[in-house]
Amino acid sequence: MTYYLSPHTVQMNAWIGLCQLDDRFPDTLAKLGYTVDIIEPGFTIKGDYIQPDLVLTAHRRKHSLLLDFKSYHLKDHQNERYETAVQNPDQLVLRGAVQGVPPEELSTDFSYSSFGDLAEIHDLSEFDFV
Amino acid sequence: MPPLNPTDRRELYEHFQHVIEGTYDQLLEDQKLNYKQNMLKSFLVETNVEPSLLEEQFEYVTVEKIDYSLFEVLIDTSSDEDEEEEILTFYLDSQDERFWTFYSIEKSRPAKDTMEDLIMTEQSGLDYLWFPAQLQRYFTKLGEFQGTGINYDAEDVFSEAYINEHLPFGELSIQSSGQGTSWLLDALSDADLKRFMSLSSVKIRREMEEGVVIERIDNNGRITTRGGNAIQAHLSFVETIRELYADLIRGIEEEGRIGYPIREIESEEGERHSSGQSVEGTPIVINLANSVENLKEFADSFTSATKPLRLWGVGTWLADDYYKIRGTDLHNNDSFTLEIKRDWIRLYLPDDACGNTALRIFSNIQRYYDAEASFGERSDPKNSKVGLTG
Repeated sequence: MTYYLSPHTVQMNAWIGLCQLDDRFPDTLAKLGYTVDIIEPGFTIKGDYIQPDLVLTAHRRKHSLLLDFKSYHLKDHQNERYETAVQNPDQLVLRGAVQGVPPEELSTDFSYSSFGDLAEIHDLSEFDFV
Repeated sequence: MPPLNPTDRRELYEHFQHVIEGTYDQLLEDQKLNYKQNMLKSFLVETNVEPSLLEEQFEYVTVEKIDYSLFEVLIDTSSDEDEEEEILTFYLDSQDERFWTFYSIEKSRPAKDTMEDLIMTEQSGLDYLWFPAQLQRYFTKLGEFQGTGINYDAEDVFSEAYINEHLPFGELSIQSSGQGTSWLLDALSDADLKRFMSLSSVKIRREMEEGVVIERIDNNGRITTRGGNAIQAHLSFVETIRELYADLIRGIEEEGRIGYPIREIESEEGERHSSGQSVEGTPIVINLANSVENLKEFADSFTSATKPLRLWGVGTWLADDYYKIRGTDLHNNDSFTLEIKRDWIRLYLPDDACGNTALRIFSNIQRYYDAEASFGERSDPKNSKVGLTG
């Protein structure tokens, strides 16, 4: 029997898989200490509402990765909103999105994940994740 | 099912999420408190102490750290007559060092009384937030306006004789909810009642990207979530209110306190010398729509050291219609000076005074004497979204 999984679900599984120590799937992020912190939280930072699909945290690195799974489209305001989160990482702890890291010591980055090449469709050059 | 004893912020917020959604039906069967009947209450409190000092200051308070800037605060409210201990649980969020938030899902009355006892204790280092009517009106624009409470309580401050002689009401209380609230307020504001329409609470429905919350905001910083589906929306709302108030306080403390700094000049040899003193800051002018008929009695009533104002002072006449009071704010021992004429009051605060004192005096004048009292143009806090002049 074949089950259809949406691209969103496949990406979710893949990113979670990267955080598991497993000999059948790359465990790159697990080796770096990342674990799944929370799935699909929604919270506001400095007035900007952010709803990443997945938050991965490496506690010993005091670093969190905000992941947003995309098909092919980005909304313009999303980049700015995630930038707000990157500029105010303490708020991730204070809003309960990240656990176990002192708010003033946390750093964070965000990333879009897609099966398409978002950089071909959108000008992302002003952000350093391209 | 989220635990009852949260070990971090996320668990606490999940717990509150269930409270807001009212989904505690299956929970707590063996617990003493029936949490599902209680609403989430957030008390914004101004402070100049550390959370850990609460335990030293109050022997009936226990403070335990849960997470970063998050504490469980247990307050023993038992009296000698009680057979069982009555301990109320609050959660203190001290991420903003000056404006704390105490969360509670205890019953409304005990929670409110307990916070009052804590804040009103002399030298507690804690104070309410004092929302002026202008700020309360601004809150009604932050969502769909659904209700209001109006409480004019001159009886709490003035003598019966003063009220009989000078005021049409000793007390005026109106509660309204529903879509007609705006209509009612507009109708009453057109009448000559405006001076006595002192907003004590407003209720709004706020629909945000996070979800919906129905909030009641009391004029002393208490926010009660009366329904909704998103704790994050409530947290954002509390933050919005805190920032609006903090902007007002910052503006007052930058411009509305009087200091006498010593000016210095630097000689050619690089040595610094005093070149005299200057005056910085301006007094805060409060304009009154409800003119004061008896200056001395008015001033003495406001500075009698009793609750709710807890201001103490000694007055002198500067002229026939010009009265001055030098006083002390018993909340924090800040000194202040009031100069009173029939239609305005000047408030002088020293440069180390707390800006909260100014808003306490101002908002209490609105509540107990003149709901239309406003700041003078030059006293309006700069860089604040909310003006206090109108």
